[in-house]
Amino acid sequence: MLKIVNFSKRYGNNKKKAVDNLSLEVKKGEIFGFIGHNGAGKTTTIKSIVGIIDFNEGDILVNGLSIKDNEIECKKVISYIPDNPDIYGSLTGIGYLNFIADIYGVSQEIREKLISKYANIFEILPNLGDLISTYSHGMKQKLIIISALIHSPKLLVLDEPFVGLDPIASHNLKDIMKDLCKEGSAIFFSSHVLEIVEKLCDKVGIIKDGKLVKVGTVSEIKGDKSLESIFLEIEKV
Amino acid sequence: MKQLFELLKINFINDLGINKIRKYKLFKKLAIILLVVYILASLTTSICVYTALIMDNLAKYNMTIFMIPMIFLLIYFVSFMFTIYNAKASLFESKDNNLLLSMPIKKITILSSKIIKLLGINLLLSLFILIPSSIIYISRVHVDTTFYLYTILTLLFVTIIPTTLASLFGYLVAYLTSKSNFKNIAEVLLSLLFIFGIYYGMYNGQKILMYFINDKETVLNIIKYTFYPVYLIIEVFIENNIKSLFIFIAINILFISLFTYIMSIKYKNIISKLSENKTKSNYKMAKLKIEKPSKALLIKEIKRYFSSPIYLLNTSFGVIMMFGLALVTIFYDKTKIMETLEMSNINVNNFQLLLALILMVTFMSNTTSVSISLEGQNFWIIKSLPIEIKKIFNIKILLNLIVIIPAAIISIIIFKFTLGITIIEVLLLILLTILFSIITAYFGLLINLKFHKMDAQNDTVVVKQSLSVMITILVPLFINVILIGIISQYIDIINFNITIIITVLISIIIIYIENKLLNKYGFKLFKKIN
Repeated sequence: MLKIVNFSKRYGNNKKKAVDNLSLEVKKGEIFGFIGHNGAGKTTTIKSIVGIIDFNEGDILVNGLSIKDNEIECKKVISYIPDNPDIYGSLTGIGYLNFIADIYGVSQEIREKLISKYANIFEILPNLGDLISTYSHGMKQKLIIISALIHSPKLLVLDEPFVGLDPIASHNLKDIMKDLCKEGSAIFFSSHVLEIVEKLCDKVGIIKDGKLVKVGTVSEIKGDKSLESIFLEIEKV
Repeated sequence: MKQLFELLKINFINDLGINKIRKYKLFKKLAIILLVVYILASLTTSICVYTALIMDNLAKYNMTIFMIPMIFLLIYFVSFMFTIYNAKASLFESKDNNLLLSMPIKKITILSSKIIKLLGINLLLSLFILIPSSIIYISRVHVDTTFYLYTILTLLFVTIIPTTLASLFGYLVAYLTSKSNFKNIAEVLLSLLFIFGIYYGMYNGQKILMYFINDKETVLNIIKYTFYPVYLIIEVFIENNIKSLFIFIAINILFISLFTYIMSIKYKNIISKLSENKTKSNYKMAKLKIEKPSKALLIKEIKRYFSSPIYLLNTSFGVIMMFGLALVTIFYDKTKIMETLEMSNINVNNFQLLLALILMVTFMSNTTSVSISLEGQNFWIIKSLPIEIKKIFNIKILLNLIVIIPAAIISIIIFKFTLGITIIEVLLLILLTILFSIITAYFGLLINLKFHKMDAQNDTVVVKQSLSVMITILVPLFINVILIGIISQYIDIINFNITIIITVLISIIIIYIENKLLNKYGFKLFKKIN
């Protein structure tokens, strides 16, 4: 579902690449955890996957199509949840969700069913009529998650999705991620919460200073140790 | 005190974007310097011309001595107007309020830093007015050393009262409208009402000046009992009264100290009250209306437009003014309007006058010059959605056309009946409105893509203080001043019909070029923005 081939990104005239020759693959039904220290290149990689930033070298294939050449087609099957829940404060929650559903061409029946389902799960249905500018950080985060789910994406890309969520919402999101994978979607997400990555993911990639230093299944990466100790060992080198 | 200096320093670096400018390439630095020089030169020239004109008038009645107090009165007005636009955003809705209030800094220090920043900006504006006008004054009137001393001391304190009064007014408008469901519209209406009041006063400026010249004593008495600080300025400069200067300074210090102290006591309360929003939290799932992606984008764009009073007010003011003028022509004699517009001594007809008006309105009503910057931190949404960039651009341009064209067409139709322009002229005016609007919308978008400001503290910074807006207003203005200059030189030999045909053709060519530029460079610039 997602194939990154020799991907490199350099900002402006910087000598150092933000991401350097990164290659990985996420298949249908897999959850891929992407970990690394602050500034390692996680968000740059994620923003390139979802078509927010252009990149210099390599390619990113979504469902077999290059994001460079088929941007719109790729974006139709992707959902992105950013690390900061900045959304249009001038819209109501339901207005925003309906806007996203319009853009993705979700049928009336499905949008109403899915909005109702996920808004109930995240307990924000009563708030959907209020302006987003009145929402708390967590409520905005929940709204973005719902907006990412209502067009049933084949590839869900999340940047630090658990930040700002309450424990119940966090638990529900993990369940939803598992369900989506069972239905054949692929998930690529970054996180600093290594326990979640360890328990939730099929595959893990560790990025350090723009280079992917380890990639494989969770058991391949951690062996007998915990993911945290492996991560700390890599970071100390 | 150390904390206050630190806050002022941080504000200064952040607001002026000094660290960013340092990183700019030489060409961009030079472009910014040239633009600033151009703005300063235009302002200085205008102020010098106006000062000379007023001085001529006053000299006829041997009253040139009143010139400097009048300049300070103008500074009062400019400071007041500027602060009205900025006070709410700078004092009460600044993004750093939460951070600062959580720090071990006294509320009075935080508020003082913000007030000093406002006063600093107003002082800078005052210098732009005072320096050129004083040069004209000094060149015509003999002054001694005390004049310089009085002027500098008065200047240092003169912006205090208008700044504080405007801050209070800004707060009151925000407070009164905060409970309304349509608070943005209410805020815009209140602001428009106030601005029209000011313009009405300016419109009657000549009458006021004549009234003052004819009955100086009564006017001075009115000023003395209604606005004592201004009377003190008059006393300082007319009677060379140093005692009045000390009283003036004392009043201003007392005023700002009291204002800062009282507001600081209630500062947290004010911030929290203004950030309160009405929430119902009783939504029940209802039937949702489906729209096509383009229409959904347009609705989103329109909602954004109406959600920002400063954006709405700044870009709709020209259109409202034109519509208001059209309505005025229904009730007033057209010859009187021609006189009002001071065009009666120039050989232009109604059609030419309306053409100039439309040109001005399209420049004033440019929404695209800020529409990318106003996406701000939400920019990731449109960048990650499966929408073609061209479609996003088209919607932003369409909003600009919606703001101008319907109101312009209605106004032109009213003008047809009141000013007696022909059907052909009506059609030409509508055609030119559409063409000019498209040109400015494309231009604004291109400029904003190049000079975007995605991390602004609030909408006011984008709408009022961004480079993109300055370029979008000043460049067309500059070109048009040159064109009008050329046309007015040869107006007697120019065939107006041919000029119109050439204008239409040139407009179409410009739109074609702008469209090519947007497709070629606009896309790249859009993708570059993070």
